[in-house]
Amino acid sequence: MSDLTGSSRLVPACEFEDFGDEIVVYVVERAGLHHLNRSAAEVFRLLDGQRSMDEMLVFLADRTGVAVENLAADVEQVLRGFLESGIVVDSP
Amino acid sequence: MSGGTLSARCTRVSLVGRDDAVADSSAMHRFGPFLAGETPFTVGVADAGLAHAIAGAFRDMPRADAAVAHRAVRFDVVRSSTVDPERPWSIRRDGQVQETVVDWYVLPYLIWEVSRLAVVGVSDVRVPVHAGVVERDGLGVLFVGATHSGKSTTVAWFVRAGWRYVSDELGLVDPVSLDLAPFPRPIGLRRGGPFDDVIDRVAGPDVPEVLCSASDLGVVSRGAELALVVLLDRRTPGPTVPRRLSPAAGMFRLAQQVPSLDRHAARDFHRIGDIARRVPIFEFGIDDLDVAEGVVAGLLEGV
Repeated sequence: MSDLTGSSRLVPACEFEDFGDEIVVYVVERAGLHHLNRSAAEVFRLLDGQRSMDEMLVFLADRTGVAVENLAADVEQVLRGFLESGIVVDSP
Repeated sequence: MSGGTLSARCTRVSLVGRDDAVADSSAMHRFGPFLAGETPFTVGVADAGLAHAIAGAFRDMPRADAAVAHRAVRFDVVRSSTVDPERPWSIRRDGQVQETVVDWYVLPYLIWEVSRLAVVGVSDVRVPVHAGVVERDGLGVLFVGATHSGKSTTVAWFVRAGWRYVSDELGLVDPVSLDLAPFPRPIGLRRGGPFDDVIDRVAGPDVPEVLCSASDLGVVSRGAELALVVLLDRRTPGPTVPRRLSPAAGMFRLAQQVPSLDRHAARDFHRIGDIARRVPIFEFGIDDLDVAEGVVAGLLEGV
């Protein structure tokens, strides 16, 4: 698993179905199914390989009105979960 | 077929299949071609007693068109050439030995092979779902659950209550038309449930399980349109209070019961998503099958 830093840029490495509030993903190599709730789905949609983690936090702070320092731990936890599950990988 | 743990005697043992038996040798009876989902197959057996059981077990299966008979998978049940009195039967598929088995396991093993055939041979059009399936007025209900989740018992109950039987094991769903192909293999019934009277009647008091042709319980369907999915929740059995799942939660649960997902992930994953968007998915525990039957009927009227 790659080390997650503020400059990490992640991209999906899975098949996914977006239902609006929630997303279902399938990591083919691991035969892993995951059901993302609204918060996790919101983070997942931002993973386009363009934004760094720091940039994503700023974006989410602007959107939600929650300070970056209050978002950071939760978002990092979600991203680590994505990395551990193989849902995302570092952008090449 | 006595003394084992599984009996096929629930099937009304008859010579139904012998009309079209083809003599491969002086003692070989061949049945079919039938359809395992979309794959034609035949079964040949060189034993009169087993031939009766096999004819009964497969009597509800759809027949394949003669035009596809030439590509039918050929199962043969013959005396094993190995010196093992405990496992006297050799089951071959297209000439290749698959397994050698004891008397009582011939039929369950054949049905397992045929079920596998239905999954592996499913066309590009359909998605196989591990589910029991019943139909009423052309509308199909999938009872989705893992092994021992109660699919067969639930399906058998509904069939005895007047619903038509599609399958106790496999829903073969076209995600575009929502058409459900029949896979009416015999229903496995275990003692200790609501069908002990059936087991007593057809197999005797000492038999713990039977394979029962659905046509012994009710009517066999020739196809349906998928209208409702019910996830059987055996972890929390209790009053049948249906809980409708979000399409995403339903897809997540449904996809866990799609055996082709590991082989055709990119294709079947999105097809399951299509199904979950179009078909309502409910979850509930069942502690009273009569109540459950009424609940499902009500849900079907609402879709």
